[in-house]
Amino acid sequence: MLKKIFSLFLISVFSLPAIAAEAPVVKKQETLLYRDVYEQNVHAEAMNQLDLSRWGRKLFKKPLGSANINVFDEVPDSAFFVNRHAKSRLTSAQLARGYSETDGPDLSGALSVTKAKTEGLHVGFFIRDVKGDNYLVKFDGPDSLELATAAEVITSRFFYALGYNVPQYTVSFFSPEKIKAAEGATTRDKTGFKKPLTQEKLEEALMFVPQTDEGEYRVSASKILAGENKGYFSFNGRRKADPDDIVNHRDRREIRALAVFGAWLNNNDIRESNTLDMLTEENGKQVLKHYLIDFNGSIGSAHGGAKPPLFGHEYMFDFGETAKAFLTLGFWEKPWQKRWREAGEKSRSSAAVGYFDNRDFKPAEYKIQLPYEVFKRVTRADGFWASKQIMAFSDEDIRTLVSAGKFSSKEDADYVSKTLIERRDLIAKYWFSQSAPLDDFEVQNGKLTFKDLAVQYQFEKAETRNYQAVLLDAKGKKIKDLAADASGVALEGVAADSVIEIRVNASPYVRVQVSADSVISVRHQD
Amino acid sequence: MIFKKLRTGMLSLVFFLAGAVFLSGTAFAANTDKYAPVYTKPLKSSSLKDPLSALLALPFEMIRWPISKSLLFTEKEYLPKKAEWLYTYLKNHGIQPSIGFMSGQGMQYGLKLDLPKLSGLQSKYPDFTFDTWVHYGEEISFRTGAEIGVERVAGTPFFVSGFFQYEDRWEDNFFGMGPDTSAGNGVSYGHEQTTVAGKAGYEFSPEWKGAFHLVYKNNNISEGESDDWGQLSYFGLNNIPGSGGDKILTLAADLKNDTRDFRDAPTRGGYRQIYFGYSEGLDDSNASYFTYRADMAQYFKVGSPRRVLAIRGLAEHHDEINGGNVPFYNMSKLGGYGTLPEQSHTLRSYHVNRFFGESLLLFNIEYRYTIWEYRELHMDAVPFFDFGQTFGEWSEFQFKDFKESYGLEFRVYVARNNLVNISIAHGDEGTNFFVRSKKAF
Repeated sequence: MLKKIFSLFLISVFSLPAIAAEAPVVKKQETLLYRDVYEQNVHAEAMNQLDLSRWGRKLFKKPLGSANINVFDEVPDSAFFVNRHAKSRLTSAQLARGYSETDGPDLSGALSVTKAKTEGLHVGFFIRDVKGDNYLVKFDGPDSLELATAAEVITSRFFYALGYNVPQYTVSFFSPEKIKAAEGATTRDKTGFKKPLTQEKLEEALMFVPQTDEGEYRVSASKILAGENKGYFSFNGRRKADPDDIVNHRDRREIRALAVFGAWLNNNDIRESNTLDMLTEENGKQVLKHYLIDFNGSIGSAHGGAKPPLFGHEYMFDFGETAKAFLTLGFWEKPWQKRWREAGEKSRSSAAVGYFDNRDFKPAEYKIQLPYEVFKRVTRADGFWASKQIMAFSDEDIRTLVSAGKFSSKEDADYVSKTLIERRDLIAKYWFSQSAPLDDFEVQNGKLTFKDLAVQYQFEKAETRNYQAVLLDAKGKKIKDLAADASGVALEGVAADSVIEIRVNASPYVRVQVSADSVISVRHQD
Repeated sequence: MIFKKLRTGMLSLVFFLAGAVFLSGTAFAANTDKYAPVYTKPLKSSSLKDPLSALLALPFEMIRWPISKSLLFTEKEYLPKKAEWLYTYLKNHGIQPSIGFMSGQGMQYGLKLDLPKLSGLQSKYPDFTFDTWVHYGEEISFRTGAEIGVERVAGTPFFVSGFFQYEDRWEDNFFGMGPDTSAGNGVSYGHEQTTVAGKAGYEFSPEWKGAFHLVYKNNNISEGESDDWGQLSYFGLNNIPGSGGDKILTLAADLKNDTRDFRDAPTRGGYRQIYFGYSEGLDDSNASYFTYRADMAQYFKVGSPRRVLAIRGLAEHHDEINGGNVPFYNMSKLGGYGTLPEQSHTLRSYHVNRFFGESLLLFNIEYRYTIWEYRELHMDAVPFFDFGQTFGEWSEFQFKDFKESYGLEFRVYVARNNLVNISIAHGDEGTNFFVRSKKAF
């Protein structure tokens, strides 16, 4: 009893910080690509070699679990992540619309360019529409109409439906005469110096931007977020000044899982400089909301056109791959090199799709282009959780989300959908095979029931599944075997608060704590 | 303050009670919100590193901040873009500054002016060329000159040019002639050279080109200025042809064939150059000789453009005629990286100008393979093997006199243009390191 009261006290105390939070006083922190590359690809890579605990965990195979998961092995809602589609299915209309404040820039009047976008992958401008709403519009690269704009909008929809905060993205079309340089607009031209953006300079910048058959520009328009821009959020430590930011970000499951979602959406350009913290007011309280931004390096798109074939296979500076190439005198042909050579060094997809398929796709080997430690910390439990999230998207959901990219060709939309559906299954099948893919535990009629997701999603046949359950004591030692099959684990003779460890075909375990009539906690092995 | 404490106390109580309800079991009915923020242990951040690892990382953490800030500033202020624009602007206007560092040779500063571009006349006279340059190498040389010419005379494949250069090299080295000299006997000498030359040629095709050259050189030789080296007189000036300097007139012809697919990073094709020259000393000079040279390289794809075998052969012979001699400074020279082949050819583990002789045979073999690539950037690893020798007459050639040099180089390219090379070469006389922006061949 005393133990229980002590537990209650702890729970109360642990829950306090989120409630007692004061308005965050956080400074703006800045990063850009060069810094990201140095910090991750040079500094962090070197420091990892000096991290003794990291080596210890690696040698003894003791991965560090995520620190922000609740008693049910789930990620509670936070300023980083709000459980959406996997928790409660969004309707087709909600999926297609994504995060939305407006229908996009109001095209009934001129779009005034206030500033040129001078960072990032594609030509873009900050504009103001006739309603006074501000947007960032980005164009496709030369000869690749729809590629970047579709990728950006589609991926934003996926991330939103998954649970992340994203700005509003829409595909918009407008005629060239709609876009005007506003008075006082600025740009950085090829000199790198800030210059006034005149109408002539604006037209010059748009000279190589592709147009639709109707002679219109096609853009991805992201609505500028309300609130105070506080810069990027780290994938490593937390912001100590933010009382809601309690867990180091590298230990947040939803940030680790970006590696899995990035692999699914072929978004190898996830980096700190593509995140944004906005200080906003919600329910009378100031909250620092953490956003993912800039998705035009996803699906088959990258800077200037189709994704280079090595993207997703190697880091920007991949010391391991470089060492392999060096030691084998270049005779070891990497899979992506082989397939690129066999394809005659041409992408077989259309220009609107870019380079995106599942040949040689290996879920656990996909690489975001900078080697963030957070992505290397994805455990089996994290991978299982992320796979549950993506399996929540049905084939039809995926087609609906892809439709937001407004491909002009049905074949292109179908191809992207098909590839994402296949990739979803490849990822989930892999992570389910690395864990005990059991979920939805309940105590019913003296049995602990569950769903085997690998069977449910038809990755495995029910008759090949062998469930083993053991009762553990408080120290995690086995007390006895329990009868288990696909219908559940018999709880006969199992005391309240007991922990049951279940494995499927000698998989890693999932531990479930049960009371007489309910489940108290669930934990998949990391 | 009291209010704050009271509020915290109340909140604690509320959560305690909530926790009690939670653990009593009734909150875990089948429809419990499994996404609720209820944790088995406190939400907290652990240290990012254990104390010992943090200590080990400390020196690196100290340099991290300034580097990160500098990189952020560089990108925020668009410094690479500004630098690129400035360089391109100057180049488009005929101004090409250069700065560099060569180990053992100090800082190098240079400026080249393309006068038609600078004066804005290039669009009016696109085939007219007029370059002038000045170059200062901190520890070795100063040179300045100009070349004026027409690339396509009256729209035909004929080209002509005139050339003038003054060069003062106060720190060249000499180790004696032939293959059996000692590195310990190296001396330094000064070489002041004034060149006036004319060239006329014909471009048969983009791959084939031939030209005639008429070259006058005034060479003044002096003792070297370095205190670290001996003087040329150590060898006995009478034993060294040309040690008093010469005025030399050369009549030469060459034929070049270049089929490389990329000049800096070829994956196939090759180049071949043959050269014949007749040189005669003027005034009281005894110089009188023919020069024959064949230089060829071939590049072979080894199953992939990422793997290239590059083989180069160079043979050169100076044939004394009319009882004359070949001045030592115009002999074939071997040693060093070979950045300036007119000075010394590639034998990387040896000192520049390590071997002098009337004849030269040299082979360079490189296996170039890509070990890293990212968009327009790529890096090749290049194991190489050089072997060559200088000697007198062909009858004096002996296989045993070949000197070997081997090593490894890493080359970085941007859009197949060589950006920087780092190499290490080893041979009988030690090990050399190089950082260069131009490859050997």
